[in-house]
Amino acid sequence: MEVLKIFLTPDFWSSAIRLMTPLMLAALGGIICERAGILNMALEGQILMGAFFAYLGSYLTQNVWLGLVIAMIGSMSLAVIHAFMSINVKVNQVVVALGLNTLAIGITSTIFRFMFGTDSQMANCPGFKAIHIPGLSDIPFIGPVLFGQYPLTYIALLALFGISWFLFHTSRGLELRAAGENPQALDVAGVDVIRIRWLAVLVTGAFCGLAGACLTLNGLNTFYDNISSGRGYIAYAAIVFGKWNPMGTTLATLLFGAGDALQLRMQAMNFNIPYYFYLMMPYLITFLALVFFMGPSKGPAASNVPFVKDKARSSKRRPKQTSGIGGK
Amino acid sequence: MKKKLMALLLAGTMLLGLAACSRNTGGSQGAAGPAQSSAPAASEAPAEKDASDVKIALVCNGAVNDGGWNASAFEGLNRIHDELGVETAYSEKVAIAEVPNVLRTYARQGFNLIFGHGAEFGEPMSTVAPEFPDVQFVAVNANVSGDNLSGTVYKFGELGYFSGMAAAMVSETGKIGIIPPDDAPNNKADMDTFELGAKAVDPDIQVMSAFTGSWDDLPKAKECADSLISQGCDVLLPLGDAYSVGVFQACEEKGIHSEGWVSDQHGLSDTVICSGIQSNPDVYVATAKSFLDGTFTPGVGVYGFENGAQSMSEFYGLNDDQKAQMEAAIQDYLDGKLDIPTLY
Repeated sequence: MEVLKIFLTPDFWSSAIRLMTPLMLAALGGIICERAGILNMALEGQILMGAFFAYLGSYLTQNVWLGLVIAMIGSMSLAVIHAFMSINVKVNQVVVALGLNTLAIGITSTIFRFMFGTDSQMANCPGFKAIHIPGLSDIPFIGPVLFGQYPLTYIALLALFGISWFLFHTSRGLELRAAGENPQALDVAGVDVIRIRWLAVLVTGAFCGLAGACLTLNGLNTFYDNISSGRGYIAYAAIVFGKWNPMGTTLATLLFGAGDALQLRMQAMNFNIPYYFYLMMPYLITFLALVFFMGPSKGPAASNVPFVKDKARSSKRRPKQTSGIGGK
Repeated sequence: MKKKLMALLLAGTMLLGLAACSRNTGGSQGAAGPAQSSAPAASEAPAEKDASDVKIALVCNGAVNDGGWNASAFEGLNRIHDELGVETAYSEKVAIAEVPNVLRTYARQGFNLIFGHGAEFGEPMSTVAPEFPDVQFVAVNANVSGDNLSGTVYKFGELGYFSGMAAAMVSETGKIGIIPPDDAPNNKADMDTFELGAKAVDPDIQVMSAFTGSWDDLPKAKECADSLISQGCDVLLPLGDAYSVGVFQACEEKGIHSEGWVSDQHGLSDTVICSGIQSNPDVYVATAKSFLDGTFTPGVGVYGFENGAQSMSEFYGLNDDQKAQMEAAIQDYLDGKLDIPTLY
C-alpha cells in the first residue's frame, strides 16, 4: 500500500519533526507553568509574540541569535502581565489568558504595520540554517531525520531532558510541583509560593519565545499577521494529552506533527477524498489516541486556584530557609 | 488602597486588550468613523472638491500588506484616490461575521460606493444592499447582482491553463504541483485548467495538489511545498496570497521552480518562472471611473484576458521556443481558436 511507504521515507520523519518542534517547545514550557499551578491558556499569544519579536529582533540586529533572545524577551513581557494578573491580582486565569491572546494579535499586527507599512514587499531577516552534525548526519535514514535539523530542534530535545530532570530529580522541581498540588503545605514549609509561580510563568514565556522563533526563523525568515494559527492551543492540548509529563507531552506533539506530515503527503496522492478530511486528520488521530489509549487525564490539583497566603502567617515569621520540603 | 490599585490596573489591562482587539478585527469599523481611524487614508491629502460628493470604501478580510490578493485591492483604492481625487477609506482583516455591520457603518457615513474584496462578500452584501438603496455595493470576485449590487468576476480558469502550460514546459521530472487554500469554485476552476494546460503540453504529466486549509499559515504552506517536492514535483504554483512566500522559500531551498499568482511575484523570488496576473487595480479604477461619469450600471462584470484584466507576466524561466509557444497559445485563445473551460 502506497500510504504505508510514506512512513519509510526520511523526508516524512524530518517533516514531522519540523512540524512538532514549535508545539514541543511551547508545550514543554507550558508544563512548567501548569505544574506550578497556573493554568496557561496564553501559550498562543506568547508564541505569536515570540514569532514577531524573533523576526523583528533578527531583522534589526541582523543576527539570528540576538533575534532569539529578543523573541524570548518579547513573549516574557506578555508572561509578566499574565503572572501579575493571575498571581497577584488573582483574577480568573482563563479570562486573563484569552485576553492576552487577543492582545498579542493586536500588538504584533500593529507594530508590524507600523514598522513595515502596508507595502507588499516583505523584508527578509536572517534565519537559522539546518545544522548537519558531522558524521552522524551521514547515517542513512536516521542521519537526515535526527541530525540534520534546525538548532531549535536540538534545543527542544535538551529542554525535554532538562525539564524532566528538573521536575522529578531536584528539590526545586519538587517545590514547583508542590506549588501546583498543595501550595499551602509548601508555604508552611517556608517556601515562597508566589516567587515560584512567578518564575514558572516567566520561564514558560521564554519557551514560547523559542517556539515562536521556530515559526519565523526556521527558514521562513518573514512574519505575517497571526502566523501562529492556533498552535498554542494545540500545544496546550498536548500538555493535557501527555498528562502534564514532559515525555508524554513530547510524544503527543510528535503524534500531531506526524499526523500533519502524513496528511500533507496523502493529499498529493490524489485519492478522491474531500481535502477537509486530510486537514482534519492530525486532530482526528490525536483525538482517537486520546480516547482509546489514554486514561483520564487529571491536572495539578491547585491549577487555576490563586494562592492566598493564610493571614496567620506573616512573612516575617518565616522559618529558616531550607533546601525545600524534599530536602536530601 | 492596594486593592484599589489592583482593580485599576486590571481595568487598564482589560481596556488595552479590548483596544487591541477592536483595532485588529475592526480595522476602522469603529463608531469613531473609518475615515479617521484608518490611518493611511486619513493621512493623505483631502479629496478634491469636484469629486467631493463621492466617497469610496473598501472592505477586505485579509491584511492589505499581504503582497498579493488584498494588496492589489489596496493598490486599486489608492489609485482611485490619486487618479480620481475621491475620498477613500478601508477596513482590513474584517471577520466574515463582522462584514454586514462594517458595510452598514460605511453606508451610514455617506460612502456611495463600497467594495468588498472577495467572493465571501457576495452574501453579506445581498443582505445589506436593500437597506441602503442610495449606495452602490460591489463585491469583487462574486457572482451577485441586484438593484444596487454588483459583482465583478474574473474568468477563472484562464490563468490556470497558461500557468499549467508553462509549468509543464519547464518540468523535468514530469510532475508538477499546485497548492490552493481551499476548493472554492474559483480555485477549482483554475486547478482543473492547470491540469488541462499541462496535459496540452505533455500528456503524461502528473499534477499533484495539496491544500493548506488556511490563507495565512506560512509555515504550513512551506510544509505543503516540501511534501510535494518530496514526491517529485519540480514546479509549484501556490494559489494563495500571503502564504506564497512560504512556498517560494521551499522552492529556493530545494532549487526548483515556482509560479506566481495574482501579481507578478518574480520580485519575491527568483524561482518564479512566470505569474498569472489578475489586475484588481484596473477593475477598481474602471468601476470607480464609470461610477463618477454616470455610466455605471449594476450587474455582473466579467473580466478576463479579452479586456486586459487578466494576463500572463513576462516568461522569465522559459526559452525562446517555449515563449513563442506560450504567446501563440494566448493569441489562439484571444482569437477564439483555443477553448478553455472557464468558470464564467
